[in-house]
Amino acid sequence: MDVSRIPALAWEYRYVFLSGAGITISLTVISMLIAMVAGLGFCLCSMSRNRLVRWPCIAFVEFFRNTPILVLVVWVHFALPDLIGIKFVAYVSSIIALAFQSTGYLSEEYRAGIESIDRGQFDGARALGMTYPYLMRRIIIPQALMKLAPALLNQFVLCFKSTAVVSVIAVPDIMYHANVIVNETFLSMQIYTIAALMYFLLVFAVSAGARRLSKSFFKSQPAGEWRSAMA
Amino acid sequence: MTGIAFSAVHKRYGRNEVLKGIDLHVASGATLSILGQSGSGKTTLIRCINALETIQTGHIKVGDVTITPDHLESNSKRLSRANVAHYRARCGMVFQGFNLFPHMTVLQNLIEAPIGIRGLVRKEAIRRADALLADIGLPEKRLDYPASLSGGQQQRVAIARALMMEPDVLLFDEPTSALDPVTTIEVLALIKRLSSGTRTTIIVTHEIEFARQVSSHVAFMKDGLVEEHGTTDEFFSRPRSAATRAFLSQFNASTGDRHASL
Repeated sequence: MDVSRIPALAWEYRYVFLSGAGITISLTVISMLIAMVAGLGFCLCSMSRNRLVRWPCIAFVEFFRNTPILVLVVWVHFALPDLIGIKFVAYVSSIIALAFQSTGYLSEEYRAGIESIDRGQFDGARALGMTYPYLMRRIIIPQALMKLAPALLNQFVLCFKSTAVVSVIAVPDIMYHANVIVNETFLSMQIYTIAALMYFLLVFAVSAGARRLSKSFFKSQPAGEWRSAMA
Repeated sequence: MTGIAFSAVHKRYGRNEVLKGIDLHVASGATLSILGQSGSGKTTLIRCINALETIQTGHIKVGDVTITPDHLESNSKRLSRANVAHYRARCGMVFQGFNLFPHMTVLQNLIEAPIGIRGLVRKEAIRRADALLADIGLPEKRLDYPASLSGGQQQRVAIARALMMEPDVLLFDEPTSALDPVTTIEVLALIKRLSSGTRTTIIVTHEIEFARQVSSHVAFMKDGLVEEHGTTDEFFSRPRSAATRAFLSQFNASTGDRHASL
């Protein structure tokens, strides 16, 4: 149980681990960007009065929310191609699985955010002659997004941690490289400890930084700039 | 010029019938106060005028627009959704809870709909907003957010926001119920000043003395029906129905002198 070798090993394999971290981060960022847009779309559709729009969206959201991410990654990579006739490279399969799951979660978060907006806001907007799409875009969604900032951050962290499972379809992320190195060196305790620390430090840095950012952001401006930032 | 006429209007929420056959005529340019206890249907009544609520039977004529149970029409032509929205913009509404948009500054609250809905040029909208803000005595608050204003200031901004659309009809839904006595006075004074114009104004209120001072007509509602309706003089000096007399007598004793300053 030689713990003292960890720093040396981490240094020795630094480029491998860093390239893994790059993959992990890019998977998270791309998946979350897709999910933030798609989640809003699915949220709005799942609130539609038209059943033909609403039900498929609810089914999609529920399926991807209630399926383990490991199963999703494997399913998207090995089962989905047979269903739709298109084969993805492992990296793309991973993004699809991660993005779909985050879409499912975010769709529900968006919905909670929109439903938490006071009915009076709808009344006020309609009484000024705003149509439904207009008032959603200008009045309701901007307010919902502000309330959702913590939930978005939370989902970002969840997505980041979920990326570790993509190593099962051989996407070269941190975890994949750790497995490879362990197979070569049999130093499982040291290598997996390095991997765990990397995940921890990255997640911790992201969430602490985002928390500080949003705190100072909300302190300095009680909302208005959000609107112009998103317009 | 926009008169309003209710004919046999019924409105239900599920099994709860809130309006039980309303017949009411408001002349163009009149200022009508609607009195009555909570739950008598006053708020629902004015929400039907700008189609925030749908009705089950009867119809309401507002100027050249007719509101029926399943659509709005003008000159026998059914209004599209966009035109219904435009119709609503002609009926300014001020709410009990202000309903200002908290993520926008006072100025943005005022110019959002005129620019986005009416297509007003931004510069012109801002000019008009600044004039209104000066008029309601809050020019220095233009870049503040609603949360930093007092209740009375928020309600004055809400009134200005409604006026920005230059509505033909102005609806007040218990505009001072959420306010303390002092700020109530500043809001009532503003409404009083506004209601002297040619616009048709309907005010749902619990402020009886205020109703007496500002309205040309008063209606009293009870259990989903208009119990009494007449000119302000008639209403207060010769109420016909026993329920109206009973309602007024409760308040005669408690009429505060805070309205003396209006």
